[in-house]
Amino acid sequence: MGRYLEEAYRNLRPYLLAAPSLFFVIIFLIAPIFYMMAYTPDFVSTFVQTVYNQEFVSVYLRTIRVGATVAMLATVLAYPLAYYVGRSSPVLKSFFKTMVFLPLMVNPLVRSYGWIIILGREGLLNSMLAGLQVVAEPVRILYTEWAMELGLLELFFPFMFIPLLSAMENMSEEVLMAARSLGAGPLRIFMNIILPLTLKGYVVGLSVILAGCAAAFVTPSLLGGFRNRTLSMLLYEYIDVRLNWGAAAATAIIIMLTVFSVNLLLTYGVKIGVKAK
Amino acid sequence: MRIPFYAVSLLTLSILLTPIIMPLLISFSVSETITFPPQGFTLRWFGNIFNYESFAKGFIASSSIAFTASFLAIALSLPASYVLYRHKTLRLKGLIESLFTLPMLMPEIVLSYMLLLFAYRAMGVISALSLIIGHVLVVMPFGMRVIYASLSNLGGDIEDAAVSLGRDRLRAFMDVVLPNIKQGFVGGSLTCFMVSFNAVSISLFLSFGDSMPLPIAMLNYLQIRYDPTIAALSALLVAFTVALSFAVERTVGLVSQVR
Repeated sequence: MGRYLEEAYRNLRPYLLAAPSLFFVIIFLIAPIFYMMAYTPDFVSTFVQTVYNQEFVSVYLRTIRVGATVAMLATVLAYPLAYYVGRSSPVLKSFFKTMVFLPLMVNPLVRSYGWIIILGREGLLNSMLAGLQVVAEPVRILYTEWAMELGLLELFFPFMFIPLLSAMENMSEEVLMAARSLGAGPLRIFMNIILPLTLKGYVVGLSVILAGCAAAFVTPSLLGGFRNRTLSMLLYEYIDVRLNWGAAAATAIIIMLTVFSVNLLLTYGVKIGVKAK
Repeated sequence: MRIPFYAVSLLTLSILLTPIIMPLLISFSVSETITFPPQGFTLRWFGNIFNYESFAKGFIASSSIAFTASFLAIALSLPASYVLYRHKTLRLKGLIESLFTLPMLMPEIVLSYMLLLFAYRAMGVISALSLIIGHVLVVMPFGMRVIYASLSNLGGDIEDAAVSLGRDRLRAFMDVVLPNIKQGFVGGSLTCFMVSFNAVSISLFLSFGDSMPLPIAMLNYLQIRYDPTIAALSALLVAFTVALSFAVERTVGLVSQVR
């Protein structure tokens, strides 16, 4: 009898050890999703009403557009930088790593405030442009989609750069030399060698950026302003200003679905793509 | 090859670093609005921080939330990462792992709203507690990653050796494994603390009165005015976080954690 108990305990032990954290996640993260839907009276029709609505659709499209722009800008900057840094001296490498990591340690709120100082009417950029006599009147940059995109780019760039850099560091120089000596041009080398070897890291960065832009609140609300609302800002407005908690629940579900599906699509898309090759 | 490299690095580094440097510069400026170049030199704005009660209170609230949340998150992640590392062939392992990745994917602002409804309304939990629950969920993935990494660096052999020499599992874990992952333990706790201290969106709908974290107090201030007080406070916070991250770097190294 004692032996059976002991064996049962040994088999159960790992589950018992994992149980506290699993219960924590289930009770405070998964249950609330269902509670939120149950709490909303007539959830389905509220959901349909909230989503099939011109305002909602335009906010949704803006959120996607901002995410795509930020992803594109990050790609254009991170790929060449990671390529060069990946094959530079150790000193330069650690310099760049530190510089890219430093912003991650600073509160996003502080960084958005920094952007307000730079992009504001009498900010750094406008006084520089005026000093160089490029513009006569201050240019409106703050509270546009561009301001929001710059802030988000700065917020998420490290998450694209770091995985790309480690992929570039693992890429051997000989492969590139072989391709070059066989007459491949830069574009061909990029498409046939660099891209496949760094694709996994790139997709990790891409999903962080796309999901992050869909869910970010502080940066877009401080830099984009009321007219350029994104999904999270709309959620905030439903809860705090319009007190429409049903619409808030619908918006929350949409944000969640967007983030989850971006992640699923990218991870499985790459897995299938790699298998097909 | 050289020139494009310089151009890209200059552009990227200025995008990354100017927003951090600017608050430092402007915090000593005499002028009440943001002007360039900053004029004069004053410490008035640093003094002003302490005139605004919410900031001092917020600092205390944020520190205590971050401390409690990191402690709980580490306490929860330690057994969980041990199981994931030592029992690679466990049934349901895939399910358990995906449950642990959920908090990482869940948008903070959505979680904040759901906890407002669930913890605050349904369970009648007081605000401070629902704040802590939210922060634990936000920082737990970071704690798990660091502890899992240090467990895999250690490997299981040393523990098995202790067990085969007659220690029971618990004693072996306490006497052999724990002292050896001390570094990951400290680094993980510091990372959790920093993430929680800087988290904004998770606290959005959960902070009332005295339990208002510092970032929320700053957000409220920024919605009214842009004067250099917030720059001075930012400067202090930058110093605080750089000092903390230096401590993390000394114990575990940041670079190894993000991958």
